[in-house]
Amino acid sequence: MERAVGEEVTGRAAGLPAGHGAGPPAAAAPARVNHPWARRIEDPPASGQPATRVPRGADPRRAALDPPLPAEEFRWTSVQYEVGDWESGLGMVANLIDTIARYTVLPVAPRGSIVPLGSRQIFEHPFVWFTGHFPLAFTEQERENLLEYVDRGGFIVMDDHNHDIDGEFHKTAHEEIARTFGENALQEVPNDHELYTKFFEFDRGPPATSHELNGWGDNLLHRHLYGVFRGERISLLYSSKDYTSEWSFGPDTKRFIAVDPTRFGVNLVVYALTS
Amino acid sequence: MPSPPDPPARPPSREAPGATGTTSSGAPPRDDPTPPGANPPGSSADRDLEAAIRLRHRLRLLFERSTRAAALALIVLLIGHAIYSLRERPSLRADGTAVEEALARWSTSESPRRIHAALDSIPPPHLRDWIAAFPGAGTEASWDGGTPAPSAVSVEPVADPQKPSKVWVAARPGARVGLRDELGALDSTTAQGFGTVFVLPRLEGRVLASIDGQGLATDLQDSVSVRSALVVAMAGWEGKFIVAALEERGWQVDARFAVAPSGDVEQGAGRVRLDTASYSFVVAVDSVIKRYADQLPRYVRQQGGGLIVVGEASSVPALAPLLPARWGIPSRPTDFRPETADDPRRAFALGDLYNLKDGAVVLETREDDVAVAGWRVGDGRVIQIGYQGTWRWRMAGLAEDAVEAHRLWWSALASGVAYAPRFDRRIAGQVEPTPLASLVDRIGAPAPRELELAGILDDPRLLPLLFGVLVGLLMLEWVSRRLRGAG
Repeated sequence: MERAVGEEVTGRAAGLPAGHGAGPPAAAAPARVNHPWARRIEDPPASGQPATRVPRGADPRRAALDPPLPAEEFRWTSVQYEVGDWESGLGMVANLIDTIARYTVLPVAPRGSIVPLGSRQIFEHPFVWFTGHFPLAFTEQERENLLEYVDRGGFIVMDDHNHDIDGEFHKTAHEEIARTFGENALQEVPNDHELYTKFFEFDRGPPATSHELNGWGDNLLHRHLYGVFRGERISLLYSSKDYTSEWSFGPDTKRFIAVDPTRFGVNLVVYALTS
Repeated sequence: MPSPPDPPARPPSREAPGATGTTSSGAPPRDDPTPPGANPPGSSADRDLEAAIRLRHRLRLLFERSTRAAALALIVLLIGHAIYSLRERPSLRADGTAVEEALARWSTSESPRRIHAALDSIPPPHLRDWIAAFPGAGTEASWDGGTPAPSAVSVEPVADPQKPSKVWVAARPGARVGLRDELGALDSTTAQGFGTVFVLPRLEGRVLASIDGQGLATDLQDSVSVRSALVVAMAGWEGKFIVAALEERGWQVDARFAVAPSGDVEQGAGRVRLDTASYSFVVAVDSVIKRYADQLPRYVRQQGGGLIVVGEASSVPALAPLLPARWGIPSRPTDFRPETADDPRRAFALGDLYNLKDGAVVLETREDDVAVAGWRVGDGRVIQIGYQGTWRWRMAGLAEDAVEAHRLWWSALASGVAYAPRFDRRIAGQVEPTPLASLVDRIGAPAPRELELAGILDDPRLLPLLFGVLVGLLMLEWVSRRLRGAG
């Protein structure tokens, strides 16, 4: 059963017209570039800035996009599963939608979706977010769907909401991944992977979270993310960094944060859409 | 030679008129030579017998004269034909397996005016050349026979990184078609319509086709060279899965995914310059293609590049002159249900293609709507897709082979438009792709049998028969004369 989480959607994205693109995004550009985390077209690239390139010698203003015709929207999708607290991270959805709309011209749905892992509906959503605190146990159908989802080209991000490698979620998630994809399927993602330069540049790999820096959870600063690869493409990304907690704040709070912590979410989305 | 015995009775007319009182030996005649009880001379029975003997004698003479005349006429005919043949060469024919032997005879000991070969199968190339050489020597040549139905085999490379080949086989409906190369059997099927088409991943050496037992052979005449593909789209699922399908097929794909006003997510070459030295074809997924609109007409029309336009990219005004049709408003959201598992394209949102231009070819329809169309624009080819998106086919299609089906569908479209210059390959040996057509081309169309021979005496089988008849007639005439005692 697919469910909208509109009640969680706040901020700019909520004001976007349905089918984003019916109104020209260029009209929103002034507000965007005035934002402290938005990058102006004429701004020189800097560390932590988007890794997009303008052809040398070309007028960067000409490289700007014309208003796109109506296109299929990107929809932030959370996974519902049978055993565990899948609903624990829904507070971040509105923030991520706001972030995508803020930094990109991607047509993004103003509401997120929730789809059961054991249903066929998950195949309508090539990008899904998976999180939880509690022990995880997939049903046989969920396991089959997960394997098929990855093989068909879907991109799933599993985030340990406990940020604790001794926690139940981490242990059981690794067991389920091993059971589904094989013992050694989960590989370390190198910190120079394109995932970290796809839009914003993260020179030192995955950005640290305040939970890690404060010593909560396992009191470790996790240097790497892990992934299940299909060829060179990451199909399943596993994080022990608890981005779910890090990104769960009110969109208005962004005004008081020096560096937007959700920028890495844009990289995840852009990677899913282009790789 | 001994003298023949006297006939049993001589007609009285042969006796001298005044010799009724004496015999020829001078002995006095008997007064009454008739024995008692016998018919007296001059009776009606004697006269009947005498008449019968005379009639038989006349008939025999007539028979002898007739056989003599027939033999004489036959001799005259044969001598005349011989004289005629000395001046006019004969027309000769040979049937079936005797053709090769006859060709040797006709080329050496005989010098016919005209030859005709009744063939029971397609002769090998050397016999064809042999027959074709006769006109050069002043002998007309013709043929007919129960040859197989026209058939042909042709193989051509497909513009695809995996370098498959497409084998076209022309055959009558229902013919059993088998295909093999030098490594072994490849495929077989029953021809439908006017033939069948095989798409084979890789061929080794010569392609040999068997059509109802008749052998045909051909070879790949040339090979193709493909360049990269360019996909231009807003970052999204359609562009992502098109790139995935093409890359899985083996295409080197450059992509430009628009993400932000300041630039794109780029894959492949840093700067896009549309020319056929770099790209075999371009896939336009949405309106982002506008930024290359000034380069596309030259790329397609003059350089022969390919262009695939998907869904809403058709709405870009600058592309309109390159498109084979206009794009309608998408009518239906994508919705996969079990009933669309067999053909997921029935579930796509479709903006039908209408107002097809002259020269446009419909490649795919859904119900009454045109879903895919293509046409040639200058030296290039353009395919326009009315479906708004196809990625769900791969991601959410109900069939187990949805990923492969999506990949193959896109591969076929790419092969249909891709710029792929051909290079001639050196062919070793001679191939036989169209034996019947080659035969007709070499020695002409088959001529009806009744028009072949100039005269009945041209048939060499007739001469021994006529000679036998002649000898028979002469023997009969001789025997007849001997039996009646004539010399």
